Amino acid sequence: MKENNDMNKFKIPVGPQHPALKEPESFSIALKGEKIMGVDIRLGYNHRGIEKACEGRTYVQCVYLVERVCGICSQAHSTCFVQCVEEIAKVDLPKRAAYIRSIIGELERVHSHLLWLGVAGHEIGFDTLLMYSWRDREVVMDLLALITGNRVHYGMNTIGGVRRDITDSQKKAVLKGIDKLEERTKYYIKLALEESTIIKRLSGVGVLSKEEATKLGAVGPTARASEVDRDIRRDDLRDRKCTRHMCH
Amino acid sequence: MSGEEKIKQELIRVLSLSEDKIVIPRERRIFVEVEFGNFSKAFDLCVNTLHFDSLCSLTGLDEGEKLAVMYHLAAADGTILNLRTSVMKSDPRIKSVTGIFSSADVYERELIDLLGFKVEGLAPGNRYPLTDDWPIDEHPLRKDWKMKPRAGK
Repeated sequence: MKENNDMNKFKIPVGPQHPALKEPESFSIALKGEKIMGVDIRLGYNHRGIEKACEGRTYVQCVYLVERVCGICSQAHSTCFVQCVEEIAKVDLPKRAAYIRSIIGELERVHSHLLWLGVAGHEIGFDTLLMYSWRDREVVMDLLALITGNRVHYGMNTIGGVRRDITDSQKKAVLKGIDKLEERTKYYIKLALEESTIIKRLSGVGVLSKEEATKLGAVGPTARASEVDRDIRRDDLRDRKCTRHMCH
Repeated sequence: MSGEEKIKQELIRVLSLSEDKIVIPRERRIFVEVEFGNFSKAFDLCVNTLHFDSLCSLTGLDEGEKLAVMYHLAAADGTILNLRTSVMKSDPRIKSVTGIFSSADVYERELIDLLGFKVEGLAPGNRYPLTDDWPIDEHPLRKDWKMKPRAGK
């Protein structure tokens, strides 16, 4: 901890490697008492030059590179890329392939939310929630491995379709697993709304107003938690138009 | 008239754009191209009058003689307006939009590092995303940039 000229101001360095951060990133946080006065940010430690790497490769090769932008939301990245190429090339997607893309996307969403729920629990010192939610997350990771062969980087999307079908036995396993996770998720929602230590720890902390969320470009659950009525699966019905009911 | 078409007509009216500078490839997607001299007026119109009040991202492009930027803006219903402008590569100065969207900070730093833009009005800060020892005049997303062999190879 470095002391500034002003005795009341402190600079706290966080990162680039820190057990609570999921990627290397560096923040130098200026504090006055408990108030954050400013943050100096250094990012980019993991920049891998994927755009440049894509320049010299074919569209099909790029699907796999783009998928590796992130290990948590890989389906989102490859879906975005193949949708873009399909739109340029005016390629139609078979209806079954659209369903399969959506199913993988939704399973990925379930695993992602359970992952971050656990991390959120860990960050507030509620490690039981981390253990529970990551245990439950294994159910959906197993389902993704069952369908695609991989826990992450599913390799399902390709230009104009998907690379694997979903069999009847896989479908039964997915429905059974998701029933279990639905029940667990309802329990976590109840916990978040009723557990007094969570309420005491989080009430009034880090509130992001609707205006701030809009101005800062927040998306997904972060935006919706700030009452921004936005859901790409509902608003932008493209591949997922046949699966609108899945969103609600 | 659809919402997208109304936005198109307003852009044409206020900015005196020709019809071919605005493309609506499908519902909820609008592409607009403006001269750099008209950019500030166009950006202000999109954000303050047409209420595209979220900045999703910026995209930089190397067009040969010129460098271009696309500002991807979103309205409350998620309609995306892509505002594109370009400057000569010999004098690639653009204006920072961080005064309106503070989240543009990292995107503008990317434009500086990867494509060699100069962004007027961007507050001093750390470079992003290249490393501190990366040569200041090498911009890897320019089409003429080629990877050099590593020392000793």
